[in-house]
Amino acid sequence: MEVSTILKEATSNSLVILDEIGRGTSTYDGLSIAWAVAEYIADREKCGAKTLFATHYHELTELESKIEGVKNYSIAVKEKGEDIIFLRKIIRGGTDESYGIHVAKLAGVPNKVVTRANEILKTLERKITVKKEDKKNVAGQLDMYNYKLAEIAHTIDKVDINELTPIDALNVLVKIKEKLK
Amino acid sequence: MAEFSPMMQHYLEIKEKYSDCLVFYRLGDFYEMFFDDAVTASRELELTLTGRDCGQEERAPMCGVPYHAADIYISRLITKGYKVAICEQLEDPKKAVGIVKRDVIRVVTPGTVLESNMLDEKKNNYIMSIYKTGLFFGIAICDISTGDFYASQIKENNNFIKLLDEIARFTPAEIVVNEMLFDSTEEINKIKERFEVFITKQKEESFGEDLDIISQNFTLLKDSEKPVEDYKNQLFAICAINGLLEYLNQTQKIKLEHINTIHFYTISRYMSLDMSARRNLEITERMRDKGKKGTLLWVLDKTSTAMGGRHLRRWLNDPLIDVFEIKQRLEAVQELKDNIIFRGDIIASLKKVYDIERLIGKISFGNANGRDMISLKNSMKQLPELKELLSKSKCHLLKNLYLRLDELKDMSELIESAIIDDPPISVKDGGIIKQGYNQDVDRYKKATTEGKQWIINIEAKEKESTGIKNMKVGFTKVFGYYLEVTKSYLSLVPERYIRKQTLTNCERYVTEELKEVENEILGAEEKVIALEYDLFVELRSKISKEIERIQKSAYVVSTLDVLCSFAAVAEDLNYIMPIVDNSGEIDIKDGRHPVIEKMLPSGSFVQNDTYLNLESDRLSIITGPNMAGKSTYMRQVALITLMAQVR
Ligand SMILES: Nc1ncnc2c1ncn2[C@@H]1O[C@H](COP(=O)(O)OP(=O)(O)OP(=O)(O)O)[C@@H](O)[C@H]1O
Ligand SMILES: [Mg+2]
Repeated sequence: MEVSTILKEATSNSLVILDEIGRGTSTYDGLSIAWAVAEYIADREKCGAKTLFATHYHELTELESKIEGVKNYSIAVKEKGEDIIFLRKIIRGGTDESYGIHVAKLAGVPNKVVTRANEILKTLERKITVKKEDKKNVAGQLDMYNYKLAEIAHTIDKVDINELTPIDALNVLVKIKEKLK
Repeated sequence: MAEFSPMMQHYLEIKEKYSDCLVFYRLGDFYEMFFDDAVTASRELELTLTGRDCGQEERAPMCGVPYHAADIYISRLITKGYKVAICEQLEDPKKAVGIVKRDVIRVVTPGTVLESNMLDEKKNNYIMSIYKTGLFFGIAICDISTGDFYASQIKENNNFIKLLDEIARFTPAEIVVNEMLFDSTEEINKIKERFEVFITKQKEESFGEDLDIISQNFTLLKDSEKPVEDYKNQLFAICAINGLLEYLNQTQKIKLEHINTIHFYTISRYMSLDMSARRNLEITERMRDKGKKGTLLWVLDKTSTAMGGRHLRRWLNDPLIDVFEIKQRLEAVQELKDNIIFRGDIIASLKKVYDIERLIGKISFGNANGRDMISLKNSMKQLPELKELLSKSKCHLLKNLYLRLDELKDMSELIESAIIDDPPISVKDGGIIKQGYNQDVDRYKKATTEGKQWIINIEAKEKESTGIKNMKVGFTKVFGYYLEVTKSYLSLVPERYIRKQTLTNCERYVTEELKEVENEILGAEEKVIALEYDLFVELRSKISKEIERIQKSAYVVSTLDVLCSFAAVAEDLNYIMPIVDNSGEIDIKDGRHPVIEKMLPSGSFVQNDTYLNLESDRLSIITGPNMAGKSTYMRQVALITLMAQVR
């Protein structure tokens, strides 16, 4: 309710603060909400309010190159071996690394868990690097495209083949095609 | 079935009229509650439940509280969400013929408490009325302890959301609603969910469109402090005002002189801060515990008076958007900041000022005692000095305050001449009025103080004329003054002595002269107490007539206090004056979060710049790991912007 109120009320005279909107919802829903809200607010016809938008979705930093008036900032941190030092300084440019594990360590999560998390992160990063290379070949909308693919994968994954009637199968296919539009 | 006793019949009549209240029924030194009220009160207040004969076979359940401790019990009931109707004895029970006349003199509700133990001295206690009609709302808000009264209406889009924002702005303790709002369950529930507030339904008829009563009894002002002319556009606000006034009538029962001005405000004049922004920015209330510590108010409040404290809270709750008004305020703060001696003198004087607003509230309610009068007088005595100081100011706003400040010399002189410097708490036991204020008081007082001497003189004279060496003068409640003669001297007692009492070894006598003197002395004490009370009440009502003048000065004082507080904070924390214009740009260099900075070890907060405009830098996407400081940074920008616009 609160975000929708902001969108309805905000004008170019407003200062809008959005702190992690979409957090708490499932990753993909959250991202798409955050993305749509950012696009809406940046649109001068629709809103154009001065806005500070903090987010965990690094994908949103892509908006800088897509919409005039959007600027990326990040709060600087320094990595020192396994540790992370908070510099508290805001600097131009986005970040796209994950620091959650460092924070877990700071918060006193047992070492074993942190090590295991680091391993998982490494494998994930390898996968992400592959994706990043792909990205360079496909211009523009790629991230949203990947996101759609993920959603489709999710839809297919949920289907129980044993229970699926031919008509249901057709319906699923229609849904998938719609998503790809 | 047997009849109820006459007193109980009367009680039941009262209870029927005030069925939504717990009725405190005065019987002698106690306020008693009966039947269901007694059961409820004994549970909530942990009082012993007893019974009272009421003419029926079964005794009526009863419990009570001593009248002098009633405030504490009342406040406990109010906090638990009850309303209390106070039914007083209206005549002296000793003089009453038949059953004592009693009636409800006041209904205490969360929005109308006056008991100082229930009021936060630096916070207004508001009662709000909301009139809903179709999609629109009229609102009226009053603090009956100070007399502040505001009204507005909401006729734009997203009305209900705007209404919630207004409730958040005032955070009233109680809301009176018309039937249409009360019956729209969804909206009422939303209000209840978001605010800890007591909601009272008031009959639709109370919310009339009638303007006459309002315009005859109140000064009506617009935002700009000019008189309101076009009432037709204020219809919903007027309905809300009527609803609120009717409720205040029902609960307070007397005309309140200090509520005399209604400020019509337009919502668009103030920065619109939606409810969640207000909460999340923790401007005047912490989200966690509703406390003041850790809020922007906590950082900015260096006010010297309770009035200034409330005024500051109001300002923080409604920042301005008009560049001209904002600049006037900024200039005044700058002048006070730069001129340390000037500011120091003003603050020293402000520190001696008591809560004038609530003192005159008490006067208007007829609750003020001698000490309140002295506090008021001492406060007013600071005004000439403040005026003198303000005469040296240069900026527009301070000069304006200078012009508006009424020194109230006549008032302070009046109180000074009438009331002694250290009066007792009670106004009914005498000892309040100063010598030289009233001839009769002086004469009676002479009789009471010198009376003792007169008696001693009589004793000496009688000893001498009769030769009874051990004659003693004495006093009892029953017999009054007497001369005591032991048995061995009885032969010397002259004939003119009248025997009063015989004891085992002495006799007690009076003489004509002794009786006369006694009359004068004893009569004088009673008379002077009654007269002092009358004079005190007369003085109180004299001051009541000048309330508007006093309020104007109180307003000047509290404004000045807030400005000085800003200046002092700016100097302490090294804040600078922002440049405010309509360019739509936000350009902050080395910005700091006022609250987080204060909570961290000094020097450890890292400053940050911000730049936003309407063209190339509209939307900043801020990323960074958890705990990096994203939320802090964004809130800091919002708070700095808000501080720049607080009038
Ligand atoms: N500029 C600063 N200088 C010093 N300390 C700071 C600064 N900004 C933030 N901090 C400290 O860091 C803490 C965390 O900041 P904050 O809650 O803003 O982080 P966040 O990035 O919003 O975290 P999350 O992603 O978990 O919401 C603050 O409570 C404060 O103690
Ligand atoms: Mg945060």
